[in-house]
Order: sequence, then C-alpha cells, then structure tokens
Amino acid sequence: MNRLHWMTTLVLSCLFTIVFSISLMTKNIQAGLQQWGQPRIWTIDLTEATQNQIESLQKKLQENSEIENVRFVSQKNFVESFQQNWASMGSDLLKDPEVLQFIPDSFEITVKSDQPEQLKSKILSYENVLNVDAGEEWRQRYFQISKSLNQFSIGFLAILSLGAFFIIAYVIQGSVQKRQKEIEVLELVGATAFDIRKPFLIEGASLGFISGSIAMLATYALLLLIKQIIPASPMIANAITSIVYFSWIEVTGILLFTSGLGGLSSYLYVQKMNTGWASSKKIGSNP
Amino acid sequence: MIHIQHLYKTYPGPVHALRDLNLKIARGEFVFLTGPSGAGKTTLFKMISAYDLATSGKIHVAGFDLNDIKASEVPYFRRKIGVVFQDFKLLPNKTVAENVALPLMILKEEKRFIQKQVTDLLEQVGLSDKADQWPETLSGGEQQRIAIARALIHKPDLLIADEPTGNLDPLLSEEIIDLFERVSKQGTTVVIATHDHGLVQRRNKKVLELRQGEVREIASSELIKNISATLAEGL
Repeated sequence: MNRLHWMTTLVLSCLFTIVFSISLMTKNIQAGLQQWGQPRIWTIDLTEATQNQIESLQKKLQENSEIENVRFVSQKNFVESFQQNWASMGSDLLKDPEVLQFIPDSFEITVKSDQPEQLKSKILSYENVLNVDAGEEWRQRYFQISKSLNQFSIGFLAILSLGAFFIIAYVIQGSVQKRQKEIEVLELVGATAFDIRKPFLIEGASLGFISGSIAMLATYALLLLIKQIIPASPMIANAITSIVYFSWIEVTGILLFTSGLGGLSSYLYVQKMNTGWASSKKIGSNP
Repeated sequence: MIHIQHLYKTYPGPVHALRDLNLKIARGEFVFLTGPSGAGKTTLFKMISAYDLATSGKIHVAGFDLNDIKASEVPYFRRKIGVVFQDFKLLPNKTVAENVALPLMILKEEKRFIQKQVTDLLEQVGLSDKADQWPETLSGGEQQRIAIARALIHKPDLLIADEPTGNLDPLLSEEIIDLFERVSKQGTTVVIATHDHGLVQRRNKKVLELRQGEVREIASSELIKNISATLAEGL
C-alpha cells in the first residue's frame, strides 16, 4: 500500500463511519418508532349483547393466540372509571341517558400480533363486535415519520456511497496509470482482459473491505463512548441503553456492500481501460 | 504459419507504410527480414503480432485470421507467438527471473515447472547469475537477452524479433542466433528483422527484403549489392 492508499483508506473509513452511524441511528429510531407505532392495547366496542353473547365472545378472544389479555369493560365500569379519573369533567354529562347510549360495552385486549390488520379483520367478523380501535391514528403517524426518516437516510447514504464510489475509482485510475507499462507487457504476453483487471478489482474490493471494517470498529467505539458519556438524566439514559449495534448478519452484509462497492467502482473503471497495446479492442472494427 | 495477401497499411498523410505486400512463411522456417530504416519492418511486425490493424488485405498468422479475430481471442493468439521488441518492454519492478517467467505464469503453469524453464533459458542466454537482479541494473545487451528469453519460454509457434542483436557484441549475437536456430529446428517459425548483414550472410537462410513497403525474397549474397545500391541512392 502506498501513501495514496493509506490516505484513501482514511478518507473512506471516515465516510463509512458517517454512513454506518446514520444507519445505526436510523435502525434504533425505527425500532423505537415501531414500538410506539404499534399500540398493543386495543378496544373492541360491542353492540347490545346478552351476557351469554359477551361470554362467548370473551372465550373466542381468549382462545386467540395473538391476544394476550382480555378484559371486559362494561358501560358501568367505563363511567365509573371516567368519573374517577376525570371527576371535574363530564360527571353530570355521563348521567344523561342519551349520552350513555353512545358508550357501549367493550373489551380491552392486549395484542402480540405481527399482522394487526388481519387480526382486526378477524375480530370485526365476530358476532356482536361493533368496532375495533387498533390505534390506526398512531400507526399512521408512525408510518409517516418512519417513511420520512427512511427516505432521508437512503438519500443521504446514497450520496455518501456515491462519494466513496468515486474516491475508489480515482485511486484505481491512479493505479492503472502507474501500471500502464505492466498492463502493456501483460497484454503482449497473452494475458486475458480478466487477468489484467483482476488485481485492480481486488484492490478496489480490498479498499472497500478494509475501510468498511475500520469504520465498523469506529462506529462501535463511538456507540460505547456515547453510552458512557451521556447517561445524565434517567430518561435519556434509558433511551441510550436501549441502543443496539448491528447484528452479525448486518455486519456481514455491510462489509459485503463496501467490498462490492469497491469492486464495482474498480470494475467500471477498468472495463473501459485502454492502452497502447489494446489492439484487441481495435480488432474487429477494421477501418 | 504466416500468410499475407495484398496487405496495405496507410497512415494519415497519406503515408503508405506497406503496399500490396504478399508473403508466405511456412511452419518451422527461419527468415531474416532486412531493409533500410523506414522500409516498414516494424509496421509489418505490428501487423503480424496483432498490435496494429491493416488498412486492407488479408493476414493469417498461426491459424488466426487477424482481420476477423475477436477481441477475446487476441490473448490466445498472443500466447502462440513470442515477440522481442526493440525497446524490450521489461517490467522494472520484477526481477530478471520474474520477467522471463511471465508468459508461463499467465498460462498458469506449475511453479516448479516455471522455475526449471526459467533456469534453463537464462543459462542459454547467459544470464544465470543475474536471475534475481532488477532489469534496470543491467546493460542494454543483457536486457535484450531477458526479452529474448521471455519470448521463448512458452515455446511459441512463431517468434518475431525486431533487431534482437542490436545491442549485443558479435560473439553474443552469434550465440543468440544459434539459440534461434535451435528453436527453429524444434518447429518454431522464426522471423528476425536485422540490419546486421554480415550475420545474415553467414547464416545462409531465407532473406526477405522490405523496400518502400514492398517485400521480395533475395539470396543472402545479393544483400551486399543491395546495400551498395541503397548507399548510391542516398548519395
């Protein structure tokens, strides 16, 4: 490795550290948002039902493996609870029978489903179910924030990756120029295009892999540092402790990506490589 | 081995480097190519080694139609030939032995086999003691012999050498031509461009003379007459 390679490795490592830090941040924010965006407590409003019908529905809900807890909240329970919590407001209002008719009996359930839409449809198909409040409003808000965050991250990462791509291509260009004579001689003695391109592809992929590995370590070190320095207030401390690093699969994927980026950048440059000896390129296009 | 019909090479100007050149060299033949500077010897070598394209005409070398060869086939064509260039084209960052070994390394031969071949050939060109040295630390004559060894190591079907004895003393020149003759006897076609008319006369081989882009076969004894004619033209 010459000085240019060291410098490039350093620059790429910094660039990849930024890329990985943003990815890690996005990943953790997404995880946080996902929890926030998937309310686990749903309310099932009921039509007028007999005690038997309510018990039958409760049994069905309890038997569903995607539901953890089922609690019946009668109209009476709801009014009592409301009056306890909001004593100053509406206590008289809830004595009005006309208003009371709009407050149905309900079930409060805790769900653990990965496919809430399907579960909701299923519950809605049960007899005596009037409505299921599955926190759509929250979920919609989560999707919007999550989508914006994703778009921003992808855009930013694409720009930084493109930067890394051009840096590697520039280094490979330098290497090709430096080894022009060697390439000519190799062509002269019968090296195939792949024989000639191979060392440059390896060089590009190695640059990507080494820089990616250094950046991975740097991102991990940054994470440890943040975890050590920041736990000032209990709320932040809690958020910081819940930050997780990339999984092994993600690390492997990212390193494959940086190596691939280096290899691809190199390939696109050497593919157009032309030398004084590249008569092979001219042959077939006889003037 | 080499079959050229109505070959023209015209550079912008127009400068006719080669005109209506017809040539046939059989497998295993040993041929000297002579002619004054600028006669087109190097241009012809470039055509034969797929270094450059002909403007028109047909050129077949070592079983390849060089007018119609695919880009992907060119390396395989070059593996069948050995070329000694005037400027040697050695790699300065590789040792003498590594330079010589290059064609066999490209052919992915076994390391032990490569080592043996390199040792044998370096001995034949008188460079056994220089195997681990860098080409740039050697004289022009020694570098020329490295280029010759590299052109021969993969036992090519055709050897093309442009002034291979240009930097060598008479004794060494004779030794190198002896080596070429031995190679020729083993079936390799050898085409040597040279200005060393004494050497050509002593060897009594087929001589092709290139003049103003045209080629004709002459007897080696005729060379002296032609040299005198060239000199007279010059005067």
